[in-house]
Amino acid sequence: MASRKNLRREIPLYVMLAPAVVLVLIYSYAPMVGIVMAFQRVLPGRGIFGSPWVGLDNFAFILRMPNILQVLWNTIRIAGLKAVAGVIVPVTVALMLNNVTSQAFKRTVQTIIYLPHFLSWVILAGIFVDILSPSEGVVNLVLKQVGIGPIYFLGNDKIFPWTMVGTDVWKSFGFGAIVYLAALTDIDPTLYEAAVVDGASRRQQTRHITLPGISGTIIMLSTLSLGNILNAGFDQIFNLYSPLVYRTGDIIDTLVYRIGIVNFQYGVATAVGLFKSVVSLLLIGIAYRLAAKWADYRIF
Amino acid sequence: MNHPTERTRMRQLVALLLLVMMLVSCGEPASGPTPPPAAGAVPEDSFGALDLVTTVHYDPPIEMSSVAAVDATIKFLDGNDIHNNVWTRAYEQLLGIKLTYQWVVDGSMYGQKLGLSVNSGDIPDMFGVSAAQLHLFHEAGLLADLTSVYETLASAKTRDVLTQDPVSLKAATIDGKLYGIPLTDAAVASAPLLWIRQDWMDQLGIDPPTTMADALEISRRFTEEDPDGNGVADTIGLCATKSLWGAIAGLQGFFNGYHAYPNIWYERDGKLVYGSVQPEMRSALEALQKMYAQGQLDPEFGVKDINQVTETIAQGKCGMEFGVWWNPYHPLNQSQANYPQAFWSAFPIPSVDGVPAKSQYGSAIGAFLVVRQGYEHPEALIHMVNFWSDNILGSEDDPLRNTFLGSIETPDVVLYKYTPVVLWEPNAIINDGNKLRDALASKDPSGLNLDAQWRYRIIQAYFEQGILEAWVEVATNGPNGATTILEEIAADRGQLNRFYGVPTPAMAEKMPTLDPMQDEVITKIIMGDPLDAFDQFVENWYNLGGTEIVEEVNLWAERNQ
Repeated sequence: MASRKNLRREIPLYVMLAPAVVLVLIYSYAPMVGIVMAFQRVLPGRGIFGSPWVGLDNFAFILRMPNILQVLWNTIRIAGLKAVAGVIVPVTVALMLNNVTSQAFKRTVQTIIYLPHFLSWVILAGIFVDILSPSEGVVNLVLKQVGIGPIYFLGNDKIFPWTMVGTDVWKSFGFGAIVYLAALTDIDPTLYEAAVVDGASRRQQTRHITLPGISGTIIMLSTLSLGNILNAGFDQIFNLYSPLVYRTGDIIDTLVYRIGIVNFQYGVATAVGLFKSVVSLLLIGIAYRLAAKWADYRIF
Repeated sequence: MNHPTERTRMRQLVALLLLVMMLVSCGEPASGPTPPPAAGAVPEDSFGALDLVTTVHYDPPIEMSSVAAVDATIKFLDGNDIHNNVWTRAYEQLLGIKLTYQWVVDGSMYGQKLGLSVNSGDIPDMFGVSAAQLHLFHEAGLLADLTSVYETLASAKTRDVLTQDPVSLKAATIDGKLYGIPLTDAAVASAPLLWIRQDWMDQLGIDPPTTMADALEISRRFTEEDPDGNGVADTIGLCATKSLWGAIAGLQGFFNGYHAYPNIWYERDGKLVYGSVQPEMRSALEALQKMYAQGQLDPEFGVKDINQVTETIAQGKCGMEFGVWWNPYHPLNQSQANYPQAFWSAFPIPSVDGVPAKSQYGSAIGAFLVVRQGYEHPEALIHMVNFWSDNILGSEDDPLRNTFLGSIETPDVVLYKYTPVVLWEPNAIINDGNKLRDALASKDPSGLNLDAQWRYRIIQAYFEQGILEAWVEVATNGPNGATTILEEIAADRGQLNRFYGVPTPAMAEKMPTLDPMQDEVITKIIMGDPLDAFDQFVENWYNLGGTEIVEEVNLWAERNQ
């Protein structure tokens, strides 16, 4: 009897939820029918139901491409490094900012480091080519003063992936730091007071109170970023790479872009998209299991 | 749908506008009538006053839907827009064809939008497609067969412009049937020339180059002998970009000097071969490597794109570049910003040996007009093409040109951008240049159309009034200008890309990885990798699919002879 009573009480809630569910069904689930294109030779005008079925040909096409393994490895490497750096740097910055006592200074720094997040890679690429130039760039002029370099950040294929990681972190760490700063405000201040009474140093407070306090957020963001392991950042790399660094800098998305230029291959593009989605789903699934098992953390 | 010539013409017009302003400020009255354009309402078209040829008049009028690609620079006269302008009115009043546009998008989005539109079953009656789309849409059974309507209805002038380049119609023919009208353009316009800072050559007392050795010597002296006289070693001999190839500062012209033809297919011992893997490439690479080691190339050219190279040119640091005939309009004109005396001269590609070098170029057909399968009036397209070629091509009639192409008084309003039916004669650039040079030689501009008269006056202004900015027109259409070299190239100093089909299956599959591999190897060799890397590249190229591509291309050639 109690459950029926509950149901009646919850009806307005379900009604309120319904539009959102309908929208998700229409715009997120219905288009999944289009996945069928990954198994077709898509012909214009015949649509996704009239085009000839080619089975796994589109996937075979991708696998037959020379260098595909190198490209896959480049993608995973750059994306993986970005994911790791994308946790460590913002957390460190957030911790440091958290210890700043001057509110005005803290706010100013927060705003300044947040700004690059809004700039497009097309603009940033032009700026980076200038400031990273080995002969005239600011960065190399400074390095020369301390007896290093010059370093060819964008033209050396051993350094290029690290340049991508570095510039990407520079662009996004301000944004990440804000999320962690928000998590930090949730920590109960009495814990710190108790720790001070017990004679804990700043370092010990950070290690035993602050880090455990935001570990949930760290794990959640890391788990979600695993879903992007095959997205190494098309905008950034497309605007900054050159023939000099193709060996280590060419990623799946830039390769697909070039396939697209040669021909209107919707089928191949969909196959790549499907492949990336499946890999992402698997990785998120595994990461979530591990997070639940070791850190006792659950998103759902 | 974004034609190179269209862009070129825009650049020309912008350059012209600036010069016109300058001339007017010199107090010279403009020749020719200058009626102020009526403001407000759409001015009445005076088609009756023009001597127009039409091959049809539908009565009652027929409907034809199409789609339009415009670019950000498109402008309209008062009261006109893309749906109601001189071209739509002419088609309706003179031919009885009511042309409507289902949608209008920016040129860069056209291919994508058309793909989506056609995929969703919304197919216009008449529209423009790329070569790849032509084959794809034909395979899907969407296109009308135009063979018989072309054979029976095309006017003499239409046939002439479509057959001047023997490849044009073949590119639109599938299994012996014609499925599209190729939008012809000047192919030779994409052939590279050697551009050199003439004022630097004069400064150092250097003669024009006749061999590649001369060109290399000029590059060396430009780098080492401080041609700009500022006492700083900040000049480089040769400009290049990270993408290596292209219409501006592309290296294909340099390779042509060594009888190497990267990225194109040409005949050798009776078969089509791929230029990038031929042995001639190696000696050109060796020369470039030496130049790089001696600081004659930008040490960072490997990461600099076209905009950054344009900056180098504007800063007056660049002495030589291989590029196409319109380079003075952009980006070479930028040199004058800092150095008013800057003057670039065009030279034919010099040769490494006694055999004259050939400039490489490809087919200029970027797009085709097609008709939807099932449209009741496929012949209407032919009549529209006739209307263009019979009236516009070769016309020297100023009122007619002002009505349909655009007037010199409003240089930013380019009227032919309002219609998809735009074809240019392959030799137009050369012919226009020659007419201008004849007039200059005889000092009689009376036979020229208004546009050419302006160019005439600009060149005169350079020689007689010393207006330095006018060098742009002198370098292209003046005596010994770039267009004279195009004529030589068109005659017997060109190497045409012999493959003009859609990518073969192996090409579609392998080229996206073979191309970057090639560019990587070439860039690295120039920057100091051992030359043996090129031999290794050639071996890899064949092993990773090149052999298959060569076979397919030669099979294609046999079928399309």
